[in-house]
Amino acid sequence: MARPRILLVMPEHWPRALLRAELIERGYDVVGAPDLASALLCRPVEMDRGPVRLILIDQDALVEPQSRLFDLLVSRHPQPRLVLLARAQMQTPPGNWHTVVRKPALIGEIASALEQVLSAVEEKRQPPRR
Amino acid sequence: MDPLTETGASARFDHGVATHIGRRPNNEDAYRVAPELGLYAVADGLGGYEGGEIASDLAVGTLAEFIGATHAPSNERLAFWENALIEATRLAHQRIRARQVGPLAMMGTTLAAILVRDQTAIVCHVGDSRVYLLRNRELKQLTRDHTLYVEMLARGFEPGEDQRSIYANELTRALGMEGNADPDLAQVPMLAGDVFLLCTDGLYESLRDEQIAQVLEASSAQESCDRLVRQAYEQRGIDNMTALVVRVLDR
Repeated sequence: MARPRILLVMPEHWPRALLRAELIERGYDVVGAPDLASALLCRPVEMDRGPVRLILIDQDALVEPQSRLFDLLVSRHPQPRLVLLARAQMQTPPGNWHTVVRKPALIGEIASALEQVLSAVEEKRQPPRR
Repeated sequence: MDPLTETGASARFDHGVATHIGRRPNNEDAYRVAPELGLYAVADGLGGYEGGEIASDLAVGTLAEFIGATHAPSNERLAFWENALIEATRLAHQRIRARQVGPLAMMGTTLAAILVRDQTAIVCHVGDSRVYLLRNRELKQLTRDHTLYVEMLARGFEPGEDQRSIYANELTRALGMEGNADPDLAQVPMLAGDVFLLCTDGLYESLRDEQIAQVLEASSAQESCDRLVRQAYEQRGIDNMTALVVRVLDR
């Protein structure tokens, strides 16, 4: 079975690379993008890969004019949960966020937050136990 | 039987079609010319995936089959036929999805069609195959590509010139693709002298609008198709290319 796919939209290269490595280590299929325009090129369905189950968006990626592409990205991936990596003292931007992780946060903490969201999704998929 | 008469249309048409493999190993374009149904369609199987030619053939075949099996009283409104096109497209989408197993798992196709009823062309499309209209020497694109590039422009975001083709080649809607596969529809009253061109991206990407207009203006329908395909190929056209021309002769 295809591993759950996660899309990371984070402008800063190093945190993105480290988080990606951490999530791959934990068994996920991870795609990284520096901005929303690049993230659009991540196809919703690919041969031998599962659909994107979760999108993490760094608040720094939601700047004009890139932020105009937010709804397009969300409509392209109908299934996933949205997680916001928010700036420390900024208002949370509008969006159907499943969880908001606030900076500063360790790479491990972010990965665990994403894992928690995904396991909640997977639990919902399981048939109810007797 | 002449359904054009049955549905009240009295225009006469000259039509032609041409397709070319381009520089690809396989031609995944398909078309249907069914003047007895008032239906003309082209489809472009998604490149890079197995089964593109199966998907495109299923799309145009299902459309013709559905429209051929749909009977309406002669005074039926255009909305009836619009609904028929939507249902036919959905059926094609379902048929493609049902066959997406093994190496065919990713197959899909675009579709561009016109259905002639009551001296009106109902334009129907999904994906980036196009319908153009040449009227009074002016070429107008009647369809809006379902691509990331067009969606980005609609939101006021223009990717850099070097990125343009990457986004233009990325479809946001296609038959067989996950998500919305419903067609966009438009009604265009047909006038004597109008020329409709249905084509796949391999054709319009190789030619400028002025070139297309020039050819459509000067030639018969079949001659136009042959010349358009030849010119597109000579201008280093790589992709499969298909041109289908319908010319309205008189009323």
